[in-house]
Amino acid sequence: MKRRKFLKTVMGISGILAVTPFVPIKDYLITNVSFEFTRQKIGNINELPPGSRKIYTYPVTGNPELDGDPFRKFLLLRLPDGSLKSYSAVCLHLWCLVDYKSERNQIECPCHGSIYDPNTGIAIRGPASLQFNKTLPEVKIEVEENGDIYANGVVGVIGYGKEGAV
Amino acid sequence: MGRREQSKGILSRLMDLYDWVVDRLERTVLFGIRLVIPKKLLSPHGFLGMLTLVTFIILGITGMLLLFYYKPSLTQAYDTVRLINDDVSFGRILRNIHYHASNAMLLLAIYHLFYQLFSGKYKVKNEVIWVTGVILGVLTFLEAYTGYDLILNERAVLAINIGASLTNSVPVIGTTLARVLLGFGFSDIVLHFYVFHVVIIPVLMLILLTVHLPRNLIFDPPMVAVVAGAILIAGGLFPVPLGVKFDPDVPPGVSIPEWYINSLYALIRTGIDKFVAGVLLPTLFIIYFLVIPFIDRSKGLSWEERPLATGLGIAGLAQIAVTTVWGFYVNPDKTLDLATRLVIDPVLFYTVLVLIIVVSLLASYGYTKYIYPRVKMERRRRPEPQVSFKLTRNQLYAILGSAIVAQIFADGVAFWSYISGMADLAMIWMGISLITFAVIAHFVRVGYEIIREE
Ligand code: FES
Repeated sequence: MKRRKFLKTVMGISGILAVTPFVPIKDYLITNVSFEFTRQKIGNINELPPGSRKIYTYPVTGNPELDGDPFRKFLLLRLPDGSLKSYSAVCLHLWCLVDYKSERNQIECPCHGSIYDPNTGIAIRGPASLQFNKTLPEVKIEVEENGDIYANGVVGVIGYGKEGAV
Repeated sequence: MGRREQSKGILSRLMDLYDWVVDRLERTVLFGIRLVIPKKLLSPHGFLGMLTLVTFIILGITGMLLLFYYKPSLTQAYDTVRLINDDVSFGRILRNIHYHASNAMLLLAIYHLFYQLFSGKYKVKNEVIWVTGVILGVLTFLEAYTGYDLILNERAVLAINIGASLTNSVPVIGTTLARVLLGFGFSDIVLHFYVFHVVIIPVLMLILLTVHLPRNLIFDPPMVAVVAGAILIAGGLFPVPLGVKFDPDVPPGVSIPEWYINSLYALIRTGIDKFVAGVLLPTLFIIYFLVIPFIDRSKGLSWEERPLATGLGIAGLAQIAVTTVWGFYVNPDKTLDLATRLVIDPVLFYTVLVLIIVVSLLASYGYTKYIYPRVKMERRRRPEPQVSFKLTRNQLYAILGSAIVAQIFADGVAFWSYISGMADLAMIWMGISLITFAVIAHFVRVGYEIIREE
């Protein structure tokens, strides 16, 4: 009886060992090939006078189908005080694309009128401001000496908010 | 002997071959299930599950055919659906059958669930069937949901948005879960939903069906034809629109999702925490149904003798109805902005939901205690009225003959409408032809009875 139990245990352990190497399959399920937020040049500071904006695609793949995806559209802002900020352009309400309006120095959504503070990315008016998650995901920006601007990673979940940052 | 064999016609040889094959097949799992074809008109209540399965099969067939043209991509999804709808011959008809069959399947599944609940069918050792049935219901819902998002119009994106934000709102694992289920961006979402809709969920459903279908299945050709005909007629009368292609730069109009996610939408619109409103409460609701067989300890089978289960069932049904209808409500005051118009007062909403449970339980206990005993007495006193009505053979032939003529006419109009480019009209007449088939199938069955009695 004891020996039988032993044999069964060996087989059980062996079975578990045979399956364990498949654990990294989770990397396959959590898709990441098509959008690694690696360092990418997105512009030069000299093309952006204070109080202007640029819309850029990040990360660029070269595949027009993917590059056209709203989730890859970002705003690069040069605020009136000269500082640089960059946010995802996907509105946290229902995923329209927001834009920066320099006249009023605010980020506006064309769809239901959500308004975001360009300094923080926090929704201050409209439906997005009523949500729990109301901060636009922010891009980490680096500026080289020659004025080249690089994006290097995103904080937050596109379309959901900075609050969803992991 | 050899001569005799040879003189057999081709037809009878084919029949022999058929018998031979059937003899062999009887040993397979295919015949482990017994199909019962009812000999007379039965109430469809007894085989609502089978009708649900039939719509599932209709969805499978039409769905496979739609795959020839549909492309799950951000840039092409909407345009390929439009192609199917407007340009591909017979495409509009297939798309409408697929769409209306999905509604029919959901409605039949809900009807099936509540009929089984009220008639206490989960007793008598059917608990496994009940539990797998509830899971199948949830999968049916997810199947419908992933399906209607594939078109990527404004309504679809609204629904995708709801699903995505709910997934993300799950504590701890939410964002990872969203990455697995939805991927990144629209191109991934539409591809993932496609895989779920076409492969993963249907396969899960088929697997679950093996432990949900009872051994004796009632297959009633007339009723099946009525359901199929109704789907076609609905398709002809209310063809499903294409909607407006999603464009992230254009404000969408007020969009209300499909009726079956309306209750979810209503819950979210109360503005309380998304996870609680859209994930926790619906999950509790599903668990509520899962456990009913295990808390209903009453002896009787009739709903009148099981006040607890009946009360809970009525409450569930009423909650579904109330939240669904509430989901359609948009504050008509156009001076307010859209976001405010869509808010549902949480205090009122959740009070109503709780009240529904209290009232239903009070009502069902009250009924069982005070009214049911009297009803029972009265029923005993009154004998069941007997109706007997016999058709003569000639009457039967007259019915069958005119039905065939009607069906030929319906087919003629269907073809003519189809050729003249009126697909909707064709659908209506195809449906009428199917329903005429149902009538004929029923009277053929009556004919068998008459022959037997003679
Ligand atoms: S999508 Fe931006 S406010 Fe609704």
